[in-house]
Amino acid sequence: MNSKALLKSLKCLEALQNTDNPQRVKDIAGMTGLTLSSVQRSTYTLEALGYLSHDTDSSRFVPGPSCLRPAYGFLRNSALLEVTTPYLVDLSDRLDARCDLTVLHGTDIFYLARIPGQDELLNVSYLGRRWPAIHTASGRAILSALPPDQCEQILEKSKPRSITPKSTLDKESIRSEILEAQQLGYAKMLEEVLLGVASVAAPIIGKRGVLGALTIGGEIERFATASDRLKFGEMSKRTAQAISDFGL
Amino acid sequence: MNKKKPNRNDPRFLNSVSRGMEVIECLSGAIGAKSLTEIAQTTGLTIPTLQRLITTLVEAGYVDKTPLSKRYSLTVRTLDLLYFFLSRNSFAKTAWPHMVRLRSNLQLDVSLSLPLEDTMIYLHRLPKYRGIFDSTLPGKRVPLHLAASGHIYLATQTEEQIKLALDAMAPQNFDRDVIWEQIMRSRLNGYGLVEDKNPSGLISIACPIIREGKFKAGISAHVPWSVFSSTELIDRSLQQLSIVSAALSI
Repeated sequence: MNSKALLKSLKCLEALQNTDNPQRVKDIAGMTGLTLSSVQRSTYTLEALGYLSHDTDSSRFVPGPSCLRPAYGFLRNSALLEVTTPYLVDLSDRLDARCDLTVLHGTDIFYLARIPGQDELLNVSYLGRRWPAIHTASGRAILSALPPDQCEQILEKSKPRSITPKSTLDKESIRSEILEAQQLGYAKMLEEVLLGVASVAAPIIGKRGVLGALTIGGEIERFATASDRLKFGEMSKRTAQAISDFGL
Repeated sequence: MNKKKPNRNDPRFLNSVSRGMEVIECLSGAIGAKSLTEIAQTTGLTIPTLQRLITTLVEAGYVDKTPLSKRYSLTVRTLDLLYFFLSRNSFAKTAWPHMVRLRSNLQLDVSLSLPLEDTMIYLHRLPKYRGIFDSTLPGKRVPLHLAASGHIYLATQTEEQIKLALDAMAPQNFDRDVIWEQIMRSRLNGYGLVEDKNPSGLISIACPIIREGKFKAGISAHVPWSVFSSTELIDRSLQQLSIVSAALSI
């Protein structure tokens, strides 16, 4: 047995997550297929609990600060994040580059930590953001460390998207990126999720297989040549190895 | 639009949703996975009610059951909610580059927090010091009287409002007079200062961000108390914090 009211409310929250614009009760009903009165009660309750709030002077809903709370519990209980954070802070300091920890969930990667470089004034991605694994360095790094059948399954399920004009759309090219990552020990992404930005990433391995990836990212100019990438790639590989040594 | 704030006594309020979120928040406050009995103890909900709620939360993907130990924990899916807030909140976006620059100028941990009920909740946290994992995470809530940003938030309220807030926190064990005095000092100084003298404790300093005449957020710098004294922290950070708080108070 489940709670219908709770499920409906979570559906409303999810519908709002899947659109970029604030929405009204009517719009949420349209997106979820729920009745107007269900949506009204759901949003009323979510607002009372701080999960939703109103856009200034309108009847459109925006997320409320309570949305920040559940993730805290997940992050705090992540041994991987706890072990990795000091490495990210240190690496970001030494290289003056953005350093991230990501994990795979379905066909997407999620950011668990993002330590910005000194001058990263443009926020590329917020914490918690998802990207399709196949288009990112960290996703390719994780895929390169998975058993071949699992890697293939994720590739099969993934749908390439032209996030930027430089996104690789053909799966064969993505396969060869993953193969290259297997050989080098780190993967790369050049302007495929944001123009002007590139990154390299290495897989972190635990007792039961790959846990996530450590990414070093920054302006494309710093990753332009193979020898630049080799330098950052080796750094990501060595750091990921040090974290893997914890045997999580 | 002048609408009444939603409240729990309205007939539209759905108790099962509130209880479901309570379960999520119980797991969020927990260290490690929790058993059904433990969740029941913390939330005061009965086992059958809990089973129904947890089945729903598992179905929706927010909670996971460890097959062997039959314990429950939150999933990576909770990050969708975090991202939902961070990516849609224009203030969070506006503040981010300021926070990055502030961290770089100060070479200290910096954070941005919002008032939520009787706590401050962290929106952005940019660590500089390594070692205190818990202080690098967003979404953490700190009771108002324990956060520098909580002090400066209370300092912007009327004396009546401060009294009410302290009353609401009464069950927590603290010396009301000491906190009152600290809030009044924060009001005079224009910044809040809190020292946590636990072994891994931090000294925190916070300036207010005021928008449309109302307290919006606190911007803070933190340092392990073993590294700097309060005076050193003030000397090093106050000017920069004031600049950023003024820049964001538009």
